Amino acid sequence: MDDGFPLSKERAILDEEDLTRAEGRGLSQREQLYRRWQEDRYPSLLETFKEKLHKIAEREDNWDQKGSKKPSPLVLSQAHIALEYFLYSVVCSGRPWNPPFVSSDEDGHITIQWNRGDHELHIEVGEEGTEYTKVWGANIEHEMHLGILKEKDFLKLWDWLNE
Amino acid sequence: MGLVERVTRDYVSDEEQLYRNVRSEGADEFYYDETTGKLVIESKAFLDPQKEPSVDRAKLRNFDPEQSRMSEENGIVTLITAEVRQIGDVKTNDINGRTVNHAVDVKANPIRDNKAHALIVVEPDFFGTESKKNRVFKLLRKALARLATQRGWTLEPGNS
Repeated sequence: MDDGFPLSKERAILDEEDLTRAEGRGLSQREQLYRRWQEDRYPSLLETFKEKLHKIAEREDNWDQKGSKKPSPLVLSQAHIALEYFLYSVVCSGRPWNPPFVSSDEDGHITIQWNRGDHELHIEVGEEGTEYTKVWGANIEHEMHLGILKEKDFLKLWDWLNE
Repeated sequence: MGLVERVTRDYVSDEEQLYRNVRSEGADEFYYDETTGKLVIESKAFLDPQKEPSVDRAKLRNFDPEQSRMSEENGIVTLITAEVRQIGDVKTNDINGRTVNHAVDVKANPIRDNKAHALIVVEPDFFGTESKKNRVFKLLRKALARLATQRGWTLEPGNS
């Protein structure tokens, strides 16, 4: 299961370098784009994630008076890696980034959510792994899809979200 | 009150509106999308330890959402009973691997202080391990949150 989350930031960077090398002419444009982001918005977006997760880390058990568990340090650190990877993948691919809503749920998992028109993408980071749910209607059987998140699939999910 | 009268009163009809109290910002039960500014009701707004979220039948609250609001900082959203029932079957597998369909329903549940009280339930009850039950209940809550988001606030937090 080496292609599931969490993955290291270094691994993500290596993968991206391999990809850009293979794409030849696309390399310089993407590098320029990435460098511009690196110097400009990227650090502030990373800082935003850090702040959000830091705030969530202050939660105690039953923080919502409904019995929800506080997230463990391991889950928080995995969520941080995942968020960085999502941002990195989107930015490096030249797609526009939309900030997610980040919270924690009753199981102490970190929840990351985007809503775009009729499409919702929910990502849940737990100690045992990361899952996603695609939602495009209220019918559970026909308009929702659940799966284990693998790094190679994130951009496909992102594209589906923004369709 | 006679039996027929009681059954009629206790049956939640498809067209009935249902109020749900949504707690203020610290509880993360709603947010405004950073990009679009659009209100999103979170699935957390339908969290319930018994996995049967409470709602109020609007007609028994005289269509006054203020009566269902637990505090002024909270908001009220509205669901339509038929839409809740149309969420469809929630499926789980029993210990023999057979698929069991759980229908989503709204049941009247009048209590001492609140005759309008009703519950969103699944029938038959969820079974299996706690994590399995939680996973299915999360999908149900996502569906309810989506329906609530589509209608937006009936009563905005802080407004009276």
